Amino acid sequence: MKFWVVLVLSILPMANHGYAEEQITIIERESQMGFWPCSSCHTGNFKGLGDPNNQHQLTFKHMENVNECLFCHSFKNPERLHLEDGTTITFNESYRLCTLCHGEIYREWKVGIHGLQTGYWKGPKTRRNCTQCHNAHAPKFPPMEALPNPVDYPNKPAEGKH
Amino acid sequence: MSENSNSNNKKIDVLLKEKPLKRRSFLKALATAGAITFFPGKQTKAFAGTFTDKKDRKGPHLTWEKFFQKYYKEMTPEDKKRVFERITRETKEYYGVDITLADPQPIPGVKFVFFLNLSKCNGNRRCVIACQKENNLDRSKAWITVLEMENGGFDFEKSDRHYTGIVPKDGKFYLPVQCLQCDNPPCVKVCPTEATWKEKDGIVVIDYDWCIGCRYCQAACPYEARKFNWKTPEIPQDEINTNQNYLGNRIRPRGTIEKCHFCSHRTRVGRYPACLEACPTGARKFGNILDPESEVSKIFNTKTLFVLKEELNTKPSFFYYFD
Repeated sequence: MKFWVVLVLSILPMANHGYAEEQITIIERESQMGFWPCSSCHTGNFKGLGDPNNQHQLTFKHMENVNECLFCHSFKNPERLHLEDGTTITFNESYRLCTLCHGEIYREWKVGIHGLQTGYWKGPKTRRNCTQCHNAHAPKFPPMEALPNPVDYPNKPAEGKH
Repeated sequence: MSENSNSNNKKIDVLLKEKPLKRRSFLKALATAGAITFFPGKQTKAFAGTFTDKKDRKGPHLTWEKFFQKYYKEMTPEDKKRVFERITRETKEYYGVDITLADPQPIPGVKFVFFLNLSKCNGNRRCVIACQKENNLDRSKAWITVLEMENGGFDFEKSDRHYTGIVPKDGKFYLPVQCLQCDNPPCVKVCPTEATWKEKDGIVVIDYDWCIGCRYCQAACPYEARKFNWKTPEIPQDEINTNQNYLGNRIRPRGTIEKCHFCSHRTRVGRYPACLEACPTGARKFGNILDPESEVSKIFNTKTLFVLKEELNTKPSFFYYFD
């Protein structure tokens, strides 16, 4: 009897191929933010700052007819965002704010279809917050410099038509 | 008629009688030639003379041990251990790096697929460079080719692979092409030495020590996925990836074919491939299609996928989609 218990207990962990339990980590945003902590400048409540384009030298290209920071930022606490029902959330879970408009993309992100995931296809994954890749104030993915092609083809076509 | 057949029989008889003489003399000649070839002064560099005609010859010498190495599929664990020790020793001698060589086996119940979102890809070539470093490629080579295509069609003749500067450009989209790990691979069919084959998890692998460098597979592949090592790879010593797979990313000898293997040294222990982790746009998705909970299964169920050159019936495991 004892022998069987030992045998079963020793086989059980092998069924998982030795991989860790699937778990998803979302990279924290607050530690990466340029002006963090916000309360070092914005003390108390900060109502009436007005047009987002006047703040932090930012160019606001997200939504038309937005003329107020407090559309997303909490007016009670500058280090928080707020949802449409007044719930305040941290910058680490800003995807909860994004999903109010971009529900479809949020659904894809939640199952791992949208956005970069690193780590293990079978095991712990690291996922990025929306604002890790998209600037919240200008969310279009920015153009970037292409790395040079390492392959130098001997019959590389001349400039123009080949 | 009968006279003719009789004369024919006589001729055959004569030929048969002559045969032993010819065979004997042939064997004599063979033995002499063999003695000259196989017992030179220095045994370790027995075949070194074969390649010394070129000035740029570099890389580990072709030794007795390497020449008589077994086919990978017929190796016993002891054989493998001996071969891995030899390759580790040669890499240390030539490149000055200690490597960990292994051959991770396919995980049962896993079929790898790769999905690439062409709406997201902006052609920044981060994947190309990451692949090069991960897989110990020569620094003038790449397994991934990114084609700059004109919007509104899949005309490969109008594609450009030498683009530079800021991407994405107007009116263009970008199509990265690498080995598609076909389920009906034309490259495997043409290999005369069976040095390349398809494994159970869908990866087409190459035994670089069994490859004779005939390049038939390169000609057979419709996707230009296979690349040839014209010279021994030149890699900066500090950039060599020491986590190596015998059938995958170990440093290839000169005169062999190489190609993408879905980073088998990473994916067979559960990790994502290097090109996927390097992509800043998140256009690449990788996983096990047999697992209904995996992200690739969810893409497979929700997106409209296509493969390159479907009419050739190669059945690739690498799918593209727009969304």
